[in-house]
Amino acid sequence: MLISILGFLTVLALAFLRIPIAFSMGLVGFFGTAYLTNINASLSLTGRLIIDTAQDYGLSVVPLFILMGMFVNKGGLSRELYRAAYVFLGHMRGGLAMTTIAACAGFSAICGSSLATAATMSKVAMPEMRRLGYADRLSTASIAAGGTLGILIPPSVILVIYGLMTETSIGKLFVAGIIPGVLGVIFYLIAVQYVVRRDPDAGPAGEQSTWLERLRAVRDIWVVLALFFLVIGGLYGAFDFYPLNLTFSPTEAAGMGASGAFLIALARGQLNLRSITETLTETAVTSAGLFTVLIGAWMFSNFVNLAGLPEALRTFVLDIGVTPPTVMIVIVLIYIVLGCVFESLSMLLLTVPIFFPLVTSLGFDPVWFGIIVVVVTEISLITPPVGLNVFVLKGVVNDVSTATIFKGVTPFWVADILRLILLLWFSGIVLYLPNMM
Amino acid sequence: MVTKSGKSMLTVLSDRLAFGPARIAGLALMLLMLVTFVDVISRSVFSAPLGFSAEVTEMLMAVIVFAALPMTILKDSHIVVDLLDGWFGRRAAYIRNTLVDLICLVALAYPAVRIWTLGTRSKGYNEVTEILGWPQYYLIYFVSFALVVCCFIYALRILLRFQTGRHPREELSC
Repeated sequence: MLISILGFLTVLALAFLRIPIAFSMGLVGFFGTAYLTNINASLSLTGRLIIDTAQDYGLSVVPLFILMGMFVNKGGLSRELYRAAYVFLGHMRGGLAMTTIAACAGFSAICGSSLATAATMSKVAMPEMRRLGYADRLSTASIAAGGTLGILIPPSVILVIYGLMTETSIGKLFVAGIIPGVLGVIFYLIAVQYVVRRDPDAGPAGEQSTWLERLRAVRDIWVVLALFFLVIGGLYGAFDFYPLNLTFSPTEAAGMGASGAFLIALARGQLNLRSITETLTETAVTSAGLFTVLIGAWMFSNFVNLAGLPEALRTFVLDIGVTPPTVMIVIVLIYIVLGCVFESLSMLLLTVPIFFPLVTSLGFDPVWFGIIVVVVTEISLITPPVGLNVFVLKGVVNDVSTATIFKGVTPFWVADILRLILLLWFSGIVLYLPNMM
Repeated sequence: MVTKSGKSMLTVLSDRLAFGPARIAGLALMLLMLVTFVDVISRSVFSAPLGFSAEVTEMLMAVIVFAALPMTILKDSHIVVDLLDGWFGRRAAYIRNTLVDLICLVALAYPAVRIWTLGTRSKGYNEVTEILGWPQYYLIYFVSFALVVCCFIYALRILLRFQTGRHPREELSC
């Protein structure tokens, strides 16, 4: 166990010296394996791992889901989504902030990235909230918090990677993310109401919409609903009837989603050859970056497994006689602390190989643990000092200080913690839908 | 040496080493999307799935990842922890960045050589893909070659830093 802990600390040290996370994990994995076997074996293992990872059929789901999100972004659907949420919620006090949360949730249903959700919605939501005189702390916080829903509401790139790393069904993970995602939206809406009740000037009400306007707005977003239904319905087996008899594998769902998003963006006249080339190249580059981290993580994972860390950790936990729920609480606390420092995907990749075997051997459900990990990761996206979503927003809205955004985000952060406690306490909330599959 | 556009030759060279392959990666991604789409449609509508789609997907994946990797390095888009950046002075950051690039270069060079060896072995064994029967060593050599290109980009970054005394990204066009 000592050598694994040393390895983990070395990864942290190298990462803090600004060596890319992928290389930090890869180097420790390589030298650790070499120490436990020999340098030649470690080198062969590395070579094979690089080739096999890049050619893994299951992993093809990653670039395709990223591509889907990119095309959705280009398609300019965010404005319609915002409008549809506004006609139902805008007339209430704090209505625009609630609109932002609902629109973020809608956008998350077709885009698997939290950062993209926050960046896109900020461009639409911020000017509207400024127009109605919303307090900066509420407007920015609602976007930053709403954006975090991107990685939980399916499709989610981070859930895909968790599923591939732990050999857990991606379809079940996606379906399991739906109820916690909806709960997240409800808790955030309550947080907005809490803020405007304490300070009514922070979020004045907007205009009331007629039912005709509401119908029109819903009609405008039918493509979003159709795309979501195509991807998640396909995975869930909703098209498995005569004459279609069609159930998608994750890769097929991602491919159909990307194709659908491409056709939508094309039909809306938002694409030309240049923007298509840019989108494809950008997606490939982002995917290559993710794959490098993934390869590094697998090398590190090989090393800790070879060193017998999962088994040692389990024995240690049983020896000191702590109960499984206590172990889970400690793991969640570790995630919250690490989330203050690490980028979300790196945190997941670094820790899952260590905690996953322990958690499953203690009898916890792998799907449930995946959702808990993603919810904690969501929290880290708005936790100071790193809180990536806050910085994405700061990049778009320059004239609001980071401190103001972090201050505004506090009620949303508390809402997240309450939701986390609820999900930890009642695993049935997460497992109800996947158990029906 | 400086080109007409005012960029140093080293910058132009590293740009070229990354841009071309990145476009190929983008093209492979488009192809991947199309193959999946056509496969699903032909399976559901004509009950005739493309038998080779899984194999083509695997090959395209390798092309996407490794052809885009040089651009990932050029654009500095690897995930890093930059919390301690403020602690490093200009000089210390210069030395740290050079060392980091050097470490990354070496970390890629060893696997590149080993993967080339694996490719040669695969060629010797006449290993081919199961359905299409394509020789596997092409792809393995490609991966090795892409890693060598990445090493070149790291080397050029180090040289560029020596030449200009600043971070190469400041000179990039992308």
